[in-house]
Amino acid sequence: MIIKPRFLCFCAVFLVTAVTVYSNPFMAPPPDDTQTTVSPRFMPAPVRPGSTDPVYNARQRSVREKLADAFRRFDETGDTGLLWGLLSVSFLYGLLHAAGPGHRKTILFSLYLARKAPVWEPAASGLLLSYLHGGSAVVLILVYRSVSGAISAHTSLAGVYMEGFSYILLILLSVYLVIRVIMELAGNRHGGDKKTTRLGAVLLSGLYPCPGAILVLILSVTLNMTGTGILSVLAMSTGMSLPVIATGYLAWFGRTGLFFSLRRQESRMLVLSSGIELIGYILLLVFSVYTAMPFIVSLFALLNV
Amino acid sequence: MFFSSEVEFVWSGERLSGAYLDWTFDSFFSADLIHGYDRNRDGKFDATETREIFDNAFANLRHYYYFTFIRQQSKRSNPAAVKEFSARQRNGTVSYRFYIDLSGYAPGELFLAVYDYTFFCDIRPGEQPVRLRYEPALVRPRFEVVENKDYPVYYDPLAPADDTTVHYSYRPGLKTYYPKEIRIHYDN
Repeated sequence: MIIKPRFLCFCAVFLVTAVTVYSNPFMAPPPDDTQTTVSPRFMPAPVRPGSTDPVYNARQRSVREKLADAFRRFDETGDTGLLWGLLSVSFLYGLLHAAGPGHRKTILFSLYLARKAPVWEPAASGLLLSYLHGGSAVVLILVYRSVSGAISAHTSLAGVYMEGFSYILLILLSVYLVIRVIMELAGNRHGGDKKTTRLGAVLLSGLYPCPGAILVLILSVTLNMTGTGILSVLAMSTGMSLPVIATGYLAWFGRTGLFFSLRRQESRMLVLSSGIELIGYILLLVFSVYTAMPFIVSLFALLNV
Repeated sequence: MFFSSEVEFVWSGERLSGAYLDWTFDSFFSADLIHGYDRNRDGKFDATETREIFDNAFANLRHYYYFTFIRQQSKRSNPAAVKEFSARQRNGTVSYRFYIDLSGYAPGELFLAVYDYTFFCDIRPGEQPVRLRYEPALVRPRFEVVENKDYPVYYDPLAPADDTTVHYSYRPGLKTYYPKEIRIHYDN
């Protein structure tokens, strides 16, 4: 079976119509509470988060409050210098934010471990991923900015679905890739370049909104500074791309270095190439399954009710 | 998100009756609450707006024990409900205040901690983290903030964000957290 670009684009569009992730204990409505005026909603568990460090949290908190101050000061004065300061803090916040758990670093590592790529591609993929991640947040806030009540209260429900389904599609894609490599190994032939599927994986995994960007955009909407918020998210996304790109190059250099050292042993290289490709896609599959498992299990539980 | 927490313990005569918790939120969450629930944009939350906030941006915490953990010796408990909830805003920052009943606890010594064991919220002590309201002629309470190494809480770093399980005994895979407890002790 060959996955056509058209199918991947369909998946991308499907994902864009879903909403953002925000599992705030304050905001999620009580599912079985009959004593409030909030009606129960159909909410599966979100995907697994990564573990965080208190020092890292403290640094993020500090930078985020500086960003909020920057928005307010720019709102008060309109000084262009303050705008540059705001964008600089946004860049720093994005860098710090993506250095923590998530943001598809493992995805990119798996992909560039698995496949040969030109030297510029990890950078391009990392940037594309990060801009899609931030851009998704912009699109969703533009959709939800006029809702009644807290914006994050409205986005929390459907957001769980978006990240969950993006991982399910990654699971399906990685299963396909694993099967394809095994079939190639069994048929003792090396398959053609899978640029389309790799690009598809990047698109799929990036099309859910960054919670950090959502927070910034909510603040900008409440201050009637949506345009500034979008610029801030653009700067944030650029900052976010750096840890992601670094992870991609870590895999790229590792793979390139290994194959350079074996360049005179063509037969071993072909076997090793397929083996590493298989490992990369299995890593992608295992990571995606492990992360998405709470979402998948709870979704099935909800569907059975 | 993050917020700061302050606790005001209140005595009624010689007995500890309860505590008011004051939580002050970060700029982003505050902005969202003000935008969403200060309907008339008058800079304060009236009764209707406060009710909306309670229903949509607080009530769900009952499933997370209102982040409040009470201990007397080895016995741990949580508030079943809260009273006198109010929300206020000042200079773009939103605060909640609510009351928990502690009258059912034996006099002498009590520990209270405020933390989010799901680690979604980062909770810090406020500028005046503990206040005591009492009649000096009737009771002499004292407090201290301690990191209690004898009664840790264990958490699963990879559990889904909606996992409300509190682990008091260790099993492989869990990490250990020593909550900072406010130790209140008083005699009459």
